[in-house]
Amino acid sequence: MTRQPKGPLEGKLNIPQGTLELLILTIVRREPLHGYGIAQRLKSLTQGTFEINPGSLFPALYAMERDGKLRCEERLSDNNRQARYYTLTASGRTQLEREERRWERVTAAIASVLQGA
Amino acid sequence: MTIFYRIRALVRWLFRRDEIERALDSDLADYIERSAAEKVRAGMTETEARRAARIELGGVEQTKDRVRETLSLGFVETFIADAGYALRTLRRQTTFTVVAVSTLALGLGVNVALFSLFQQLLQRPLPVMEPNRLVNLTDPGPKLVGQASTSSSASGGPDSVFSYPTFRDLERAQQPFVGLAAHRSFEANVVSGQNARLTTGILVSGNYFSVLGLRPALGRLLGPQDDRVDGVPILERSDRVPYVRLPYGGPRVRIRLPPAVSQVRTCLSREFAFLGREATVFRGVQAGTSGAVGRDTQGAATSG
Repeated sequence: MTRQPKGPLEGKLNIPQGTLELLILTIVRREPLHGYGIAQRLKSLTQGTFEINPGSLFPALYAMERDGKLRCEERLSDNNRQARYYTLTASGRTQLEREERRWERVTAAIASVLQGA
Repeated sequence: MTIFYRIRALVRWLFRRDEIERALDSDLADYIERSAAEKVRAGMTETEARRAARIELGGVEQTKDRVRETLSLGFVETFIADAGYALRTLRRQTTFTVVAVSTLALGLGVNVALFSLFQQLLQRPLPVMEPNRLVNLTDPGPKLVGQASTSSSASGGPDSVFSYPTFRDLERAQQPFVGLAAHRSFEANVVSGQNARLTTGILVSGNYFSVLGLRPALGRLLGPQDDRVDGVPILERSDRVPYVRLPYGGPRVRIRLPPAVSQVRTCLSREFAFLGREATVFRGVQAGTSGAVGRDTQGAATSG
């Protein structure tokens, strides 16, 4: 992965406002993951459309942990160091389900407008 | 649930900043490590990869600052949002709000009132010299029929009431105390000119004020010399207030006076003379009365 120059590039988009939490919650629902893993998973799942830089990822992770949506586990990772793995809490799961439903309604609504226009 | 997490998080943020800082260190170091390893696999050298990873992070300190900023700012924002939400809910649910607020108000009010009463009656030291060395005597032993005091007057229950002769005997025989003083409350009409009013007085022994260590602000207080049982009442004049010094062992009376103090009053159909007034507003060793010192000018029943 090489650092790309700033500015809008072909194939890369800004993460829509208010959806970062939904994306993070969805990613850690599958399995507990460390910060780097979350960033990588987001990138690979979107085929590089969404890329999050650590300066935005970590504030979001810490805020979500503070609000009780995520919980941290210290684990010994593959390279034999202690790493913090983020995982969903019960309250995070509830929030995820709520956000998913909301997002489905938003996309459905937008889609029906686009089709009807 | 969220409230619980918020509070826990607030406590953590306030008192466990070190822990958050350590977590942040560990997270960022781990990120750099993994990112660099990835770059090495892609063909970079170890040092190049580390440098690139650091740059990608956007600066370790800057990232830390952004996290700290988010966490501390988030608190103010969430607090304001929570408070606003609470206020809106309260405004919408008027009945609940009224009931809750009035319950709280009533509860608090009752508690405050009860506590002030408790403090007034039991906690506040008496305004006398060394109140911590003052004790109340009681006589809980068996009483002989006929001799037993059955009175449970304002002065107290049967156990705490001593007869006047018993008090004098005790006063003579006692060793452990600096002094022993007697007092007894009574109710009487105090007449001043055309006005009568029901008020409370205390009959006291001559050493009452010296035992309690009280000083007069005006005139004089009763003293041991007033305990004598001979001669005629003497009327003396001080520069401001005439007072009577009675040479016999009559009742010593403390009377709560109406605001306009006149010198001579009638009490229990007897005349009392105003002797003086204590320096502090002293309300007796029982809560209730206050004021001035007077004496029966004609001699009267002894106190019990």
